[in-house]
Amino acid sequence: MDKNTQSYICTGCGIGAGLDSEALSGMVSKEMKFPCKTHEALCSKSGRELIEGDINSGANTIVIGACSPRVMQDEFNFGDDKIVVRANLREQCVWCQGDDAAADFVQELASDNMRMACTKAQKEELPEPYKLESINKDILVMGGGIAGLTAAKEAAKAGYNVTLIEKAAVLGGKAIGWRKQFPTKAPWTDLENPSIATLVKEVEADSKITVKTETEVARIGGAPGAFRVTLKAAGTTSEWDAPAKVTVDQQDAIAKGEMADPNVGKNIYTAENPDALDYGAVVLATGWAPADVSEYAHLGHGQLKNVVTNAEFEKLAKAGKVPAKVAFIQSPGAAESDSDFPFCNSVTSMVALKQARYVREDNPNGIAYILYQHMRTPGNMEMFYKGAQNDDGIMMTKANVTQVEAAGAGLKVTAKNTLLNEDLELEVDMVVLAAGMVPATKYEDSINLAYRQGPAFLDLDLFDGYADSHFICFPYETRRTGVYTCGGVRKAQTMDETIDDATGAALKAIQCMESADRGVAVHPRSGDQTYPEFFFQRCTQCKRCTEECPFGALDDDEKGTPKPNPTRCRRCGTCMGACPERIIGFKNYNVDMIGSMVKAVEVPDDDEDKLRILALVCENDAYPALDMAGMRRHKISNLVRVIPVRCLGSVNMVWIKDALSSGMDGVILLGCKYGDDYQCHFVKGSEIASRRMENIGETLSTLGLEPERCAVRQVAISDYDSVASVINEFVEEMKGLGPNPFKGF
Amino acid sequence: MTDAGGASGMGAVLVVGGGISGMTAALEAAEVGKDVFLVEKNPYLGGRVAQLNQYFPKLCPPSCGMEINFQRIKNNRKIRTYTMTTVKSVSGTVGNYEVTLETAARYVNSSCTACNACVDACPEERANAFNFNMDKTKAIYKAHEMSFPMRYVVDPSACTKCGKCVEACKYSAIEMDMQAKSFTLNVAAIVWATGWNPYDPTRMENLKFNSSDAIITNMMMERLAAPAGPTGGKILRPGDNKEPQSFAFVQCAGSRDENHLEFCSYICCMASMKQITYIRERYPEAPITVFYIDLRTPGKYEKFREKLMADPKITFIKGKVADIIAEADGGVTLVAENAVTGEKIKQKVDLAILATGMEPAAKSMGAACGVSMDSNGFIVGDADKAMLSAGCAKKASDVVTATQNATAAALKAIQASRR
Amino acid sequence: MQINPDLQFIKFLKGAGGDTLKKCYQCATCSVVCPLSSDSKPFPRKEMIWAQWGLKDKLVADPDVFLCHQCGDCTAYCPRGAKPGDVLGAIRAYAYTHYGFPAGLANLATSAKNLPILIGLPAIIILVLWAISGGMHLPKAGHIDFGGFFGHWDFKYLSKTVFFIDAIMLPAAGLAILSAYMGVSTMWKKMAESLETKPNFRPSIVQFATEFLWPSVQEIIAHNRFNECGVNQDRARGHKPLMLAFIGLLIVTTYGFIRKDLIGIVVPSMHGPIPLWDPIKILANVSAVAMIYGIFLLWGKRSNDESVSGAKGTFYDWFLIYEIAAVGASGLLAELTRLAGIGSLAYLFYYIHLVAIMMLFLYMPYTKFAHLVYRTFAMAFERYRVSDYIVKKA
Repeated sequence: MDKNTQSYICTGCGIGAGLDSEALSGMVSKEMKFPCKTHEALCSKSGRELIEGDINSGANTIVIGACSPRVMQDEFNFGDDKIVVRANLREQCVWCQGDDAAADFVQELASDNMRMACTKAQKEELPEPYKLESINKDILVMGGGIAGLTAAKEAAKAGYNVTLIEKAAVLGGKAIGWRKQFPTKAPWTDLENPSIATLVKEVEADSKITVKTETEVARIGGAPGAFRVTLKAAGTTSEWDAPAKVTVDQQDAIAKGEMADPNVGKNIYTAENPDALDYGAVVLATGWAPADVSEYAHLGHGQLKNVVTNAEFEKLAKAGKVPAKVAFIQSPGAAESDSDFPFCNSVTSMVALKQARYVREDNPNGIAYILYQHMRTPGNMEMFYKGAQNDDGIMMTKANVTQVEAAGAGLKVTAKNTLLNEDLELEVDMVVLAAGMVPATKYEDSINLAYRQGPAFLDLDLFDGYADSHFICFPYETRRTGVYTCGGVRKAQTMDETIDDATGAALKAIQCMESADRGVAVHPRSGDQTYPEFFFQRCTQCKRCTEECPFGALDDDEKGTPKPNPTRCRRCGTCMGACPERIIGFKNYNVDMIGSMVKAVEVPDDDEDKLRILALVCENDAYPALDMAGMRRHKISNLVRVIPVRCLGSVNMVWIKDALSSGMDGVILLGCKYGDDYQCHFVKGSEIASRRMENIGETLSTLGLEPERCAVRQVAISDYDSVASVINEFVEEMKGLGPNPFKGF
Repeated sequence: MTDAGGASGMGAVLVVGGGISGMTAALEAAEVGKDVFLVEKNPYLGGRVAQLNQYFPKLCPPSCGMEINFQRIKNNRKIRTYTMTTVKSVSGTVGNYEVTLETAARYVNSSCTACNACVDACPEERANAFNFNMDKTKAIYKAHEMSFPMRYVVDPSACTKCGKCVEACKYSAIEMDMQAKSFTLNVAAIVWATGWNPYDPTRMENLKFNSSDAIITNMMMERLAAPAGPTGGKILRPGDNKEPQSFAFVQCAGSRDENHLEFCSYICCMASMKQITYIRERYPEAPITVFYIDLRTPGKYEKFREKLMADPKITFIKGKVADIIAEADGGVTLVAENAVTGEKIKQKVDLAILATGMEPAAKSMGAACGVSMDSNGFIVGDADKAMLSAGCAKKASDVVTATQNATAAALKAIQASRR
Repeated sequence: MQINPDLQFIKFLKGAGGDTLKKCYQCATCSVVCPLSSDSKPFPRKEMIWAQWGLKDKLVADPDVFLCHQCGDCTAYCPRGAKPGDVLGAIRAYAYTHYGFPAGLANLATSAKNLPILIGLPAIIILVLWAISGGMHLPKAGHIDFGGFFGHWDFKYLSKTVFFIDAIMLPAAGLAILSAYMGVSTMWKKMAESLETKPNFRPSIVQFATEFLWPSVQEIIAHNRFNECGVNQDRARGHKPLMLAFIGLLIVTTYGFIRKDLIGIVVPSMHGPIPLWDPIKILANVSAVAMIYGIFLLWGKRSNDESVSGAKGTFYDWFLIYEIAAVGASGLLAELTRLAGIGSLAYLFYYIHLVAIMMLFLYMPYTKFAHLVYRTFAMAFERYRVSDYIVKKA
């Protein structure tokens, strides 16, 4: 598009008072070649009319120097066919400068903000959404338990075709082994008869659902809207099985014959099975397996007859009568630990209450002891606990179980620290241990992706092997776009929780396909029409982009060059930050654009006091924090020039070089917390950035520059009262170091 | 898009409640491509979580996710939001409900730039309900630091209509004669995400909430710890602003109790664990006692608890606090029986935090809108009628569970709007 | 501790007013709100779980069970509606039967379905004795003297009526005292066994009486503990006059016994009704009125509570109320009709009065009435438990 530029400076909200807006507008018109107008309130009706007037007379590339781009978005939205760039003259200029701030310093800050905005406007292009040649909107659901069945049923109800695959010969999963199930509705007090059979019937009767039992996934290739899935008979191996990830060192070891190739007989991940089936999205619901509790020697599982797990007890109860005296042990106890068995969540408390009732149903004089540390019946399940209590023969106490041993025909359970204020000795016929529910994803790849980054979800150890999202606000996010998980693989949960969970996962699968169809990104940049474009002629196949993409979006093609899969991409730009050749970029966000913005900053080379510090700031958290700091009138050094970035992961080190070589005196990156409790919306961005910055620190020192001139700081969105001092301290540090020796070169 | 004028769209989804659950339901539906109306009774979106300092177990600020959701809303033409708006009546049937709503007068129009001139000019003050009345705002105020929409609002009960703010506002954004507007929407499905209110602590007579400033609720604690809270994030005792040297948490203050809330409020145990970390950050040595019936920190929360159990200065006592005595020095003495040792404990502390539970908000307004509720006031959804419930309007739960079932509700709504 | 839950025991408690016991989830609110619960050994939280687990042996040996005055504060605050107060009442009911001697009679007195026997037994005994006494005749109108109830004989120094009444009441009272003694002493033994630290020497009778028993009695008369009750203040208002009435009547009866039955044997003038202006007679009448007033209050209170809570009344509670009401009412009516000179009615009421009194004596050790001994001794034990006899050893 031929750009017809126009710019504006708002003098409202104190901007006019804090700046010489005429001088500013003059600079913009002259220096940046953006005709510039001022107005006392651009967001007002008359202000917008002013802009619309210019648009009607041809302006299509507009720079607005006013409030933060985070506010007044509707007011300054002039349609998708216009380029509108906002320069932050309010929150991050006049509002964060005290009255005592030297006028020329503030003016220079404003000028640079305008320069950067104009540069951005010149470099920016209108996005053209990425469209797959052909999109498939069928959903593959893996796992035929309650979760899988529900996901399939709900997706079908919304009008989508579903294929449901199940390892076993019949549908139903664990639930078909249940004698009774937990209450699913008010008053929440009584057990219900299993509803699984009905659910299975509904699914089998649904014309939109294809059921394939005794079937597994060999591999899933492709991308959302165009997944290529190879199925196989359960338990068999196939040449199309997803290859295990082999690191570079492992590859060497294999070459040297020091290590067996795990992928013998398997096609490489890039190979495409011509007979593969097409799907648009995948729901993983492969469930859980009962935990092994034999490690707790004092409880005797595996050694003592009639010491069973809750899962084994359910089988007995389903098969027939259960013994008359049963002790249910909820926590390994022994030492002073009061934790439940691993992988329990609150489900095992519910199971014990349920199974205690079996004991009473089957034996008029039966007695069920429940020895718990913490009775865990959250929310409405409290009423179920209440209901179970009322049974004469159900005896409960908090207790540390110290020993289970054989006693005559039966078993003896000893426990201390009980509510009876006595140590207990219980003579019982059977002991039931509250074993947890181990997610399928803990030991298996489960999802079997034919991706460069390997077949499984990454870093699940963070969540004990559960396929969890780690985002409290966004529980369905995974690091594999288009693949959503539900049921036992996510957490140990009750049936009604699972049903909601699976329904939600179905929605996310649908949403992902529809977004791909519209050519827009999914969470967190939902609706973003841009996507990374590659200038492959200059690609050196260094693979950094494919390695560092937090979402495994990039594969290799046959020739070994990176193969972007735009519908897998979340648009964080980590690949762009990684690329040493700088061949990756978005229409409205690329290496050249930011580099040019950096260079647009005017660096006085003769004034010791006028240092220039570049701040590359995460637009999701740190940038809002800066806005808030401004609203709260915290003073932020006016030597700093702020450029928002999609994610620190997208920061290309060349920008730092650009900054320093153009004479700027320091560069600070503000990004999200990383580590186990990372807050980065793109999971790895801030972590990767800090790693890159360490390296650049080294290169700097080789150039004779202090590595301290480059720093990364973790800033949460709620740090609006401390972010100012974070920046100002860095500025003081730079003052200490003195001006950049390369100034003026 | 924010605060659009009265519009109506067939096959659209109405989401009632703009907290984390309502926003999630609305966004997830809109990002599939549905038209969504999101209404919220407060002048801002975010609901209860907007008042929280951090989420457990990650100890991350809720505003982080809020910001993303606000951006999602701003960038999505499919969503129209209405703040200060409540549902008056619902008629019609699945696929075509006619909903009458009313938007209360904000007295500040969309010309507001949040420049703060009006606040500087306003001579009147009001107790700040957002901070549980632990501080004051002017009669014209911004609901909270990150309120969205970022626009002021007038509290008519505190405003004397002196007109100073009107003079001060350069953008004629303040309309003292603004009236409540009612309008109707035609929608295919309704998601009720009306959330919860903190249970009124004064109703537990034996805990004597009003007898001492040293007794606060867990929600008050969130505000005390919040950087934009009444104490700027310092945990000080209300009233005398003393730095407490000892703390105690009173679990199940109202929850799991037939006389108050029959159900378990799900979050209070983890909330207290989280708040212990607030205290530790500021008072590394202060002794902390937790009185509980059961510690409900299941699954991934267990790790979090184990860390705190290792702290030698934190004591966990199985026994419910059933009496609190105000002491002369401003502190309080909590009385409970340690059920494991069988001894009575009298614990004197400088600050006691009542882990009060969730009372479903629908309990008070639900019936009027013809939603069906269980005996505790939780909304019982009916997918066939496309009357759905989400978040804590459906059941007491943590944020993860709430956003999960809100996402589920979105799909149910979409199914209905296809019919 | 070896645990053998007794489901029958749980059933009994549920039947005897403790139907809510399984609802308790051990939050221990009750132990805190109970005004009588001590810091070192709070109750009734532990009693609740022992009851839930059917551990009767621990409960009958637990003084705290008897210390409870069932004032209901715990019940008011219980988050689960487990009504600990009522449950402890049920446990006491069980304990009285458990310690009761002879066991047969004790069991008899536990259930309404035995009422025909419970009432029939004394009714027939007295009727028969009345018959064989040959006194069975209506007095001439005008001057009526119950001294002639069992007729007259010429062995003039010992009134025939007095002889017969003694013949009826002395064995009954004797049995009651014996039974109470045996029950209380077993209870004491059990409680002593349940102590962690065993006493190294026992207090003498005198020490026991002065250090433990008497202080408890004083406390009981003062109603200190009753007065601490929060939600149920009016129970004390009813119980106090009732208890004082019994003390008054005890004095009157003893006086009457000494005057007529002992001195009367040698001094004929000691016979005949005591004149109305006689201080003793006044005490008797005041006590009678106090008794009726007290029982009236308690009656109203209980039926009111039951209609509020919807709980159905238990035989254990109501039997005592009816019983005392019967004694009071029949006594008063007998006197009034006597003064009114309606002979036939006077004699009828007097007969009923005798039956009621005999029942009171006979069943005292097994019914709720037994609390007057068991609680008194439990309170004594509570003092003993923390006295130097025990603590020094520890």
